[in-house]
Amino acid sequence: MSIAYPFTAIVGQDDMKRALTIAAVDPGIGGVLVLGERGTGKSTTIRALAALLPKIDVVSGCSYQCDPLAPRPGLCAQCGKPADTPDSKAMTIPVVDLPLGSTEDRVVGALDIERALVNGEKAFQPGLLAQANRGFLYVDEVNLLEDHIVDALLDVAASGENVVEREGLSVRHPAQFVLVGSGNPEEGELRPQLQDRFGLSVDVRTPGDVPTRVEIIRLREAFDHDRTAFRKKWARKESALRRKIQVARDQLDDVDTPAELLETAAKLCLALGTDGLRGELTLVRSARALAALEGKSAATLKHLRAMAPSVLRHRLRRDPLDESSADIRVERVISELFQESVKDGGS
Amino acid sequence: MVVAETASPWADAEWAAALIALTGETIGGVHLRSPPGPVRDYWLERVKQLSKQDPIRKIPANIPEGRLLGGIDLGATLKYGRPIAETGMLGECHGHIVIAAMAERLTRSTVHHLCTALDNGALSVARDGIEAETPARIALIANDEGTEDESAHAALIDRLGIALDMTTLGIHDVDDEIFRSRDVERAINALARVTISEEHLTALATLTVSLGIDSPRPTLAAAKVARASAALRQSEVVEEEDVARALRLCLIPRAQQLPEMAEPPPEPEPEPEPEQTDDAEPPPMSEQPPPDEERLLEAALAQLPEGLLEQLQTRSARLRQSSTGSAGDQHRHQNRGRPTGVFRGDHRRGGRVNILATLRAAAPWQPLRRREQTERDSETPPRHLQIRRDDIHLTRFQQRRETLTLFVVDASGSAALQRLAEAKGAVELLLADCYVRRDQVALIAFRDEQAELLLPPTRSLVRAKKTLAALPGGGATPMAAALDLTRDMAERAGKQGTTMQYVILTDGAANVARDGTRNREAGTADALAAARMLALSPSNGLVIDTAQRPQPRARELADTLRGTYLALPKADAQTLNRAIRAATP
Repeated sequence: MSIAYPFTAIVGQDDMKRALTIAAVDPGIGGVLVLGERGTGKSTTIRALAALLPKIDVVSGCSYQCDPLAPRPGLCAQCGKPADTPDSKAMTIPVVDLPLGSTEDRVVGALDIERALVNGEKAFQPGLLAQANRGFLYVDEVNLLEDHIVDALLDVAASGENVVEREGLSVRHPAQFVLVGSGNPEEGELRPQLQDRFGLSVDVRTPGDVPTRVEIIRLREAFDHDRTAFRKKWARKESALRRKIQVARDQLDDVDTPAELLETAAKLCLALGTDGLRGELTLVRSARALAALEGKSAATLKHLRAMAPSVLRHRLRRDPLDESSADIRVERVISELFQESVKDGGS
Repeated sequence: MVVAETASPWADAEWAAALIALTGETIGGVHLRSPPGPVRDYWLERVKQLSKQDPIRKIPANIPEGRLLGGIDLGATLKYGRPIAETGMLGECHGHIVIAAMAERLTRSTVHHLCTALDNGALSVARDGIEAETPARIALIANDEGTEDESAHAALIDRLGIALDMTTLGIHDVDDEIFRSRDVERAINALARVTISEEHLTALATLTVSLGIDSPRPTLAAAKVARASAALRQSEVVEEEDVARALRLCLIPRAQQLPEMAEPPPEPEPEPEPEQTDDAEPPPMSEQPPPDEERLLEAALAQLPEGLLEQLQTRSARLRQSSTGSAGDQHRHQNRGRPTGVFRGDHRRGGRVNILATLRAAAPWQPLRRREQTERDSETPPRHLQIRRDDIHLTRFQQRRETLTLFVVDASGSAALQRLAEAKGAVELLLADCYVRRDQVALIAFRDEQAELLLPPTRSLVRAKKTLAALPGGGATPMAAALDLTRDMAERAGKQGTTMQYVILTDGAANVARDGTRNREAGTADALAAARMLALSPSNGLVIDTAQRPQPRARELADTLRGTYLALPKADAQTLNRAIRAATP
């Protein structure tokens, strides 16, 4: 495997980095959508994330990275059987690439062709969705993905479970993953159903100013010159962030959610007219994740405010022509609401 | 070896050949714009000689995905009774230079895979029961034979460091060789030691910005090309000559705008960088002020062949279009009912069974199935070929006929100045409707002397909106020209199997005749003649009267077009939407 560019060495693009970090802290947030033009470092950042993520405990020998400590019903057929506490091993949170040309059988899993040929037996060979369980599934150019693959993805992402019925095989296994999609909106619109699936959405832009560009070139040149040395140079920053994510993951459950926060989240979504409850839930969850990341014991309105644009940007009532002003709309409503709630707090 | 800077147009091409032979995959490759012919053949021959790589493999434009990426080798798999993977072409070419033939015709998925290989130097493959990561570090020479409105995909071009345009080079331009393969070999050793100063890097970054290039990739490539150029000169320091060369080969061909030569770029030259080290080698012959971007650019431009500067503007216009042009292309192919792939599906729900894919899917399972059948029922001898429902693969065609909504906006003085804003508003409303129906949209604007296709058919509403917002107003009303262009579009759409409908926003006051003279009567007559021609096309039309007070002129136009007439003053969102739905078949 080639050496990845360090996550912490990526210049700028703070929105994208924060969204990915938040998703690493709380995988339940529902995925990250990264939209932007060419050359904004979308793919680089996501590949860099893979090298940054902390380790998790998995049942050793399990194809689905089941959590040895999780309650049984949520595990795969093998790990779900009543038995002693299984052996476990630590592994890095997987980041699985879903290449654009993937066939459906490799995505959802299919009969194991090798065992069918050699031993003449029917066995299930897990697909990419199995590999991505408890980790990240990355789809580059998600807007160009074939419809039937998108359908399979949506189905599984919604239920957290992959069901395969084929050749008399009937397999169901957990497939809970953070869906990370990237794409260039100028090359094709994303299907609305898919867009709504993502918890967070970020717009990335090319940095326009010269110093930043020089910085990008200099770092990249240094990286290309000697990748190992470059990674070593950034190792301290990388492990610091990794530790921070690890700590935040462990403490996430203990972060308090004040009632005021829930109320503000609801108000915000109401004011923006977002459809469904998903926006509010994600808003609260991501505020908590951000609080955990900052080592705070409770989520505050400040956290909510910081996350609101990413959470709500793509959930505004569909007005495709207002694309450029989506951020402004969110921002306007937020500032109105927050002034109001400050006043409420004061009185 | 001393390289004398020759001013011949061939020199840059010769340098490019040496640079790609030297740097290979680190700069991605070459976007080679050239018609097929002896010049291009000779240039490729030079690349072969300098890189000592013979033959250079070629990826055909219509390469199937399986061949490109690899998958299961069915023959070997059945023979040996275990899955045997077949390396795809990209994997086979690892560490080599590859040519993409007819790069402007590459399918979207091929482009994607090439981009992945260029980005990561590796490919992850997940198909046919095989999952692997193959190293695929390639340098790509994209032979772009596209003419005016065709070009390789922008995402691919962005990743190819060098851009070379040989469309204007004839066989007489071919000049002496500057390099031998020995020079390239020697440069390989020198390359690691070459340094580039902070000023030069800043200059490159500044120029990228002032040339209107958004992506940082070309700047990176330019920095690498500058260093490689120094190495080829057997120098360890990047000098102005190298920067100028990098500028010509990497940045100027991608320019989206001409920098203002008179005013220097807004950035002051001393960069406010705290950790800036000033001990980098100063450029030699530095009696002059430190390499200032403007001077560099001038130096680079001075070495450009004559006439190239003028081409720049047309080229940049073309580049701007190409970013969706080719994506649109692909949709068009699908429209023609071209098979676009196979998928596992149920043939009883309709669709054409793809026999080959079905057999391929069934083949590996035959021994298992025969054994199963024997176990179940040992009396009847097993059938030789057992195909089950799960094996059935269908060919995918573009099922829905695409619809294109063409907006023809009158931006002339009579209509525009008062009502253009409202007309824009109306178009936006209609665009929203097109979005819901996933239509393609295109935009024609007409004013002064001519009608212009501002936005070729696209699905990107963001672009449509941007184009619309930037639309200026004022001038005469060349209605006939606009209607002729609309008819052109309708014909083209018809050939591609697309259903087109058009929406004309105008006050109907035509005053420019077909021959360009300003004459109300001739203009109106020509417009009605054009309208009669357009009425013969199968496309449906909608005329929205943007006049302050609805005039009979626009209604007459609508009647001649056999289209629907609607006066804007009365048109609110609902009416507009209803009207366009009524106009849709």
